[in-house]
Amino acid sequence: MSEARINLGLRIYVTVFLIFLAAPIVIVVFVSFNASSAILFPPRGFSLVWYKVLSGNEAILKSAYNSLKLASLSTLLSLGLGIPAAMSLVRYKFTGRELIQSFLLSPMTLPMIVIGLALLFFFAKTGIGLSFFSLLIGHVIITLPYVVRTVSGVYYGIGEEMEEMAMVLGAGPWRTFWYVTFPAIRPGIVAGAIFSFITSFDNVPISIFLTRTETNTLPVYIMSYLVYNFDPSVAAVSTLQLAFAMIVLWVLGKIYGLKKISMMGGG
Amino acid sequence: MDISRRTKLLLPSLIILVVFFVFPIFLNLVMSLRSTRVNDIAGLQAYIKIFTDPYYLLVIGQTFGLGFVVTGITIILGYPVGYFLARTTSSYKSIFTFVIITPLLISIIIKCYGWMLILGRQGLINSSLLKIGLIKNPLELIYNWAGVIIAVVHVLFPFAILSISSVIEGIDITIEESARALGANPFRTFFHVTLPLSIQGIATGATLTFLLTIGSFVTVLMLGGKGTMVLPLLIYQQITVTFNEAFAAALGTSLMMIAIVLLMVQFKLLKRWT
Repeated sequence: MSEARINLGLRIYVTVFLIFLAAPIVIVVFVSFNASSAILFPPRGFSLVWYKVLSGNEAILKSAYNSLKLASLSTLLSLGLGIPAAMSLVRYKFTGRELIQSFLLSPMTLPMIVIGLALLFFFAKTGIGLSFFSLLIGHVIITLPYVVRTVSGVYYGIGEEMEEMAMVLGAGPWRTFWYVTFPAIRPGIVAGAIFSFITSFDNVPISIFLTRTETNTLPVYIMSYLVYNFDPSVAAVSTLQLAFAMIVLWVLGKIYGLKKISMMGGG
Repeated sequence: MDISRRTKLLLPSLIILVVFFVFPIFLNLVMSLRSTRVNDIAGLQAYIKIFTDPYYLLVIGQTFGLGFVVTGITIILGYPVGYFLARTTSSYKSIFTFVIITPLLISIIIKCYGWMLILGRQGLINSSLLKIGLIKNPLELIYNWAGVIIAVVHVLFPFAILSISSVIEGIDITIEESARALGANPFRTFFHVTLPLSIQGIATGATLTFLLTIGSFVTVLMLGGKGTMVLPLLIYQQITVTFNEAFAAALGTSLMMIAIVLLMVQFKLLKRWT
């Protein structure tokens, strides 16, 4: 077989593969603009009716608001906890450092459903109970490792000379952080923040144990909605979510390049 | 001064994790050893039941089976794509990368919903096939293993492709070129040069895929059916349907132990290789 034919074969294979990857996402967008209430192909014509239905569904809007609030707060908390932790891990050489690093990353490696279950028992037995606070804590446990990983990953690559120089020249720890360290580790912080936000916004295995009606999150709501309903208003909310993700990805691609983002998220 | 500053920076994260992660996991372990109100089993009895009762053994077997099938499909079908992504000089490379990364940013619920729309009884595939008269009755493509496997594989492809392509990028292309120059055909070059050089990275990617698969919950809940019981779903059912806390705790601990053992095996293998 000639090289040209192998290359052509590989190209065709990759194209088919990309269609498979995109298919379930494209179809959701397609259905959200469909005039018919049944999921029929070909569609009955273009319509925004499901977006209108969506705008009247208070429960789904409330859950979307909850999810946004939860994802924003858990991202902020993870940054506040994770950035100092990552800096300490990278800059200070001490025994057991690797152990502490693995410990900080360990919630990533356990099945999330186990963490969700354990937290349910914990909040029930300690009397803390289920509230927005307990939900937030549950999300921070799984978003914190992303920040630690991306920030320490970027920070490892930066020499300490610049920081030392700033200190020698009389800058205090805060000034050094703000003017030297922070600009250098910003890509890691941005990547960590994005992965935190997405992880929290999409989470089901933890939320499903810790939510109550008034703290319902969007993915948990959509999941229970799909059990009894099959109308395309779910497609409409999914399309909005998708548009948001695309915009974020596009902006980041412009700033950092897609390759870099994928490297920070992979694995 | 160094020590106190270091501790100050680390302490908040450590406290949060100890209180809200380590302690709950420990509590889960304790709960699994306590007796239940319903059956009054205590100690290791829940574990004995899990690892001897045919039904629970079946569920564990199915969980592992799903893990192996999904990992196999993902790595084998994803390898050429990862290779292509690493080696291509095509001007469309950024589009490829975009299509591969986008699913990572999209909710798993949306992806499962998309598969329902494609594979469901009235979905894209069935309605098209019925219309052109290829089938008389709709095919059962979801609420069974087929649906679960397709959806889990789809969710994990981007992870696998990105890790495969980063491994292949690390292989010096001149080694492949030398093999070709010395007369090896593309297949020989692949099986004797590229594949052996990438096998370590692939093993790491495969372990991750396996771990994510045996922990997958949403896809099985949304696209699975009566026969597709796996450990994560069984845990959820123990809490929401059977209200058997102790047994749920024991199942959770078992799943966690399986994950930890796998990670340790991977760690040992990596150490031996490097």
